[in-house]
Amino acid sequence: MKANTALPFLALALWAMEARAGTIRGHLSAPPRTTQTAGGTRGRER
Amino acid sequence: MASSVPRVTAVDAGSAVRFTNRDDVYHQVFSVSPAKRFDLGKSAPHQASVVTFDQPGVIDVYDELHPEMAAYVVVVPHRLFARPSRAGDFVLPDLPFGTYLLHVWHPAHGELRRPIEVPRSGVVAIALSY
Repeated sequence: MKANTALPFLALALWAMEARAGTIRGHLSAPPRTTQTAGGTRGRER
Repeated sequence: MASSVPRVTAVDAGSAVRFTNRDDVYHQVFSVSPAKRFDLGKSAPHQASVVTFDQPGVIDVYDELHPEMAAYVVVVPHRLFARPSRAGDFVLPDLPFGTYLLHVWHPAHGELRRPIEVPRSGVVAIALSY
């Protein structure tokens, strides 16, 4: 009987270990855009 | 002047993106990027089309009828990505611990890479700058 009652707690402990996770909090700064230089050639490249 | 909103969209590979013409004039959205070539043809006002992006990469999206318009679809091979707020803040939650290589992409400034150690729990704060 004791083993049966302990099982749910064991399962909860394992779940808690799995649920552990880290978080990245970041901030990105970039200089303001002055001219459009983005992303390759405009228009179709035929 | 017409513009693409949002200018940058990030999705995981296999995602479908809906392009909706919210303008009162015709548009013709296309891309010749190697990761995804498509041409949606002439799109009437309020018409929508869906494109599925299967391969990772940065897809430059243009409008045949409005050369000043540009948008970018960043397709990544997993779901661990975030789009910074207008202020530059971002969060990547629920990461299993380990070593990661963070890739940052900006349409005007290109790519940054930063190795990051994520602990078993807690927050790693980072500041990135071009």
